[in-house]
Amino acid sequence: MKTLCRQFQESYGEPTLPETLRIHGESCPACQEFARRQQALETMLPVWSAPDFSPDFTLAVISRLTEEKQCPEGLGARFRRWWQTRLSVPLPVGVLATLLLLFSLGLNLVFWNREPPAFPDTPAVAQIPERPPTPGIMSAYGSGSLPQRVFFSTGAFLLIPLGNTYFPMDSGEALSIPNNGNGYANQAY
Amino acid sequence: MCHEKRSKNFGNEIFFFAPNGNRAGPNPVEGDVEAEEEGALVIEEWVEQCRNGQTRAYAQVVHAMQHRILAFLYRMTGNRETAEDLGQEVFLKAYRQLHRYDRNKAAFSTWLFTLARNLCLDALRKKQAVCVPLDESGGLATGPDSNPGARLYEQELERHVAASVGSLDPAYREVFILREYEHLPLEEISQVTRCPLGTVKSRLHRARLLLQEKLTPILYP
Repeated sequence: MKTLCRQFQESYGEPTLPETLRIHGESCPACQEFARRQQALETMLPVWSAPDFSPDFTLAVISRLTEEKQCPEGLGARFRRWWQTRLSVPLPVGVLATLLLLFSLGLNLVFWNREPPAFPDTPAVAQIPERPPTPGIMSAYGSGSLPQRVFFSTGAFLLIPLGNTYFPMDSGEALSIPNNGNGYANQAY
Repeated sequence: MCHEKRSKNFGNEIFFFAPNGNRAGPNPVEGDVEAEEEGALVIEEWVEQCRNGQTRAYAQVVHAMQHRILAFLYRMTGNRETAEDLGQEVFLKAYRQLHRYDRNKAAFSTWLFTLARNLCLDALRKKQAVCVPLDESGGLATGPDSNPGARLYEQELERHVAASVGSLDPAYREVFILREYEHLPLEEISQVTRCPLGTVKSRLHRARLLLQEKLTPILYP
């Protein structure tokens, strides 16, 4: 019912009103009240009429066009107008965005992948002597935890395409893997 | 009304037009659909002439369209001088960008309203304030025979209506003015404001409700 009321009120005054809405408008008290108020409003609106504008308005426009034709805009004026209409807002925003991007990329270069992950199928990892099993939470926060924290806390990781990127698992993920809490055991990484 | 003709040298051509003819030209009588269509066709013809290099036709275009554009700008800004300044900018910009106008996409009046609306919103954003001066609105019964009491009541009513419409958010105000004062169809308003039809309907409804609420003490004293 509310939808019909809204549809009727939004379509009020249109020349072609659907039959369902017309029937609804005739029977719904709320819509009838809206129509009554709207009619009253419409009778008041013409009271606010536009004033008499300058009789020389056309003359003024043509004069300015004539001036423009006789003295075409210089390059400086064109650039100023172009700057005002096109670039005054987007350019500073673009510069800020670029600075932010460069800053984030800088952070990435400093902190990202400082210590390469040890994949279980690489020979280097295979040679590492097996450590005694540790709780998952301890293995998730390994030696490189501080830079990774900074990396994640800056939000810089959002700027990296996710295709071949290595992300260490957090403690929750590590604990959910039935491999004694060893996060690196997941072959998907 | 003075029917004396004035001339203006525009490039190498001379224009003649009657001054002070706000409703002159092909401006149709309100509500007369045939006259409206005929007027629109005449304007389209003039525009086509302008685009073919006959620049003298532009004075006729300005003369024919100025009242609607100025009235819209006046109601949006609430100030006659601002409306006239913006109006000049609208017609200058329209002349510069006439090559961009595509009559298959929209009527010339719709395109002109779009330019006017964009310039007006830019100006409002820069000024950050809209005032509707209540002492300069026109059209009141100010003849010597009119009843002073009735005149005062009309002035008060006009003050309220102007202030209420002026207090609407520009997004609602533009839709309301285009619909209720300029009598544009909703589809054209959608083109002017570059909003979907549903959004236009919704904004118009909201504006109507707000105005009904604001003017209730006068509607139902």
